[in-house]
Amino acid sequence: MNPLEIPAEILTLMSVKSFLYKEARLLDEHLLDAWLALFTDDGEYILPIKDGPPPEPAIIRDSRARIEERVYRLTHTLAYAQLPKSRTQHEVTNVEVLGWSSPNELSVACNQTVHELRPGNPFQVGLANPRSLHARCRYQLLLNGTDWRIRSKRCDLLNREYPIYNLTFIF
Amino acid sequence: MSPSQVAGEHAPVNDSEINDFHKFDLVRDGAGRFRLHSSVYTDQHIFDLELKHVFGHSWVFVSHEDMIPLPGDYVTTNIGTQPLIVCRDADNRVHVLFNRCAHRGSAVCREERGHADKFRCPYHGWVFGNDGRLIGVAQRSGYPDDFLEWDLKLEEVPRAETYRGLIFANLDPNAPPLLERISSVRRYIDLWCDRSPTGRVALPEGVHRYEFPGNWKLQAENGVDGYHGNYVHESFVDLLERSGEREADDTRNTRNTLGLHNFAKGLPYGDGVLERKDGMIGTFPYRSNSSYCLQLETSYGSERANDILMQRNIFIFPNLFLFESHIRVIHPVRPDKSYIDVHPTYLVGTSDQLNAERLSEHERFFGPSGFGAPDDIEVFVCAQTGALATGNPWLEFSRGMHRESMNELGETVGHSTDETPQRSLYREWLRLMEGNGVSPKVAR
Ligand code: FES
Ligand SMILES: [Fe+2]
Repeated sequence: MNPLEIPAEILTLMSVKSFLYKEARLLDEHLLDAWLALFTDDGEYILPIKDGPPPEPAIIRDSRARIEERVYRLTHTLAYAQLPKSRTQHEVTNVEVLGWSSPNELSVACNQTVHELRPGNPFQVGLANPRSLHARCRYQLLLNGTDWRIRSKRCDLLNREYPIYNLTFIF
Repeated sequence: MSPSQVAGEHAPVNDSEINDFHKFDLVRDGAGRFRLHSSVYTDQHIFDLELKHVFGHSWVFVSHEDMIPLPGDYVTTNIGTQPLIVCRDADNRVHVLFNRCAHRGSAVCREERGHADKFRCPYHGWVFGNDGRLIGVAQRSGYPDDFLEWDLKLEEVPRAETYRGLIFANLDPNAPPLLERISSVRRYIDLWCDRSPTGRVALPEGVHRYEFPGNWKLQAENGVDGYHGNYVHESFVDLLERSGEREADDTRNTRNTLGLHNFAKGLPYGDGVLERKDGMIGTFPYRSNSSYCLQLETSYGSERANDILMQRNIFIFPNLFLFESHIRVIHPVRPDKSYIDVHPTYLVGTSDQLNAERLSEHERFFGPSGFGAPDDIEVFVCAQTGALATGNPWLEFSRGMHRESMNELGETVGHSTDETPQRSLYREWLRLMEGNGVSPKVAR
């Protein structure tokens, strides 16, 4: 099973990394239903502005139902802000296992940079213009058999309290 | 220039420039049509004139008292592109100061929000009180004895007045009083504040902020545009149907039907109101919250409570909107770049649960990741692109011109899908751009 006697922490880290890379790929390939299925039934997805519960607003404070609505909007409705759809490339770095918060729930920190471009006529305002957005992320991952589920994904954008243009793709 | 001359005073307006503006022929208003030339979105010279004539002679929203509740609190903001500090001094007086050192012009405050009784200039260390007074000069012996008579300070914006927590400032020292300026729109400000049974709204610290590569007036027009909802927000209309909140056909028809309580109003001074009994999207369903409705009836009586509960988007020329869930402020940056600050409000005196539910509904639609507002921004950007084509450079703002009428309050009233508020906006814009702000046209 473990002939090289790799320490358990390293195996955990590798497994978390491959899970995060998979999540990134699903987003970059627009496989949003598969991305949605990564979340637990009580999963949440949050992009805060300031710390704190309501009435402090968040850029995104999605319950599982709201995440479903977000995916539905992007996959089934005429959402002009995603017409044309963003092309994205998620980079996941600085992955660190912070510890088990319960016997099957792991806290994970990482940094993510999303390179984004909306394809289209480059003479037109807002198109074919590559941008990068950066965030420090925290995940609560639930062990589900041999794989993980996202109980909470929180991304603190570098520019979270400053003006942001079109953040309607999924970070 | 004498040392005591007000630093915020604009360069003298040049008469030939004013006459030139007539020749530009940018607004064609008459014979049942209203047209605007696209260059108002793209032209740098027009943008510069806007900063001078529109933002230089209007009561511009700069902050809300709840953002600086205590002595020493401050925020930094802008009128047009000019940097300001809005602060509260030790005597609880609100000051609107230019963020510019009296020595060699450095900004003295780089934070967006904080608490301080002094501002120390980073360049040569001059120190100013939060009432603007110069209170410390490094190596004072380098200046003569009469130095204090030079009257150097953080200059006050010439006029600053507050109405129901909204702080407005005016760069024009001869502007009419705020109350005179808002005499028509005031009843809507009151109705908006009275959505709280205590008459007070408060602001959390967090702000939803957008940047977009388009002209500021695209946002000014759009916030009171009742025509676009069924199209730009098709996505949101579909989400309401999916969630079982409202069938899409019902949403669409309510907004189109004549004869319902469904108005777009143009007010004096460029203000506008979009008003519906029902059918504004991205709005919390207040009328189905009986304990909230009861609170309003208790505070204001049932007739006024019913008026308060009308759905309204209120535009106060040139840069402020009052929406039911938030205060929205427009900042012009360049002809093709703007910032929008959306401050969600909470209604003081109502339950935390109601405020949390309102906020959640707000977050669903607004913010750079919302399900509605980014689609508006997208069409602003489409319009910014289209404005570069000159085949027919005119923008049609004629909708409903043949069916609008004047009511007993002196408001021009059209159907909620009519472009009545936009015509009001651009008539005021033209009046100011032609140099008819209140100050004398000649150099002072
Ligand atoms: S510029 Fe402020 S002290 Fe010199
Ligand atoms: Fe809209």
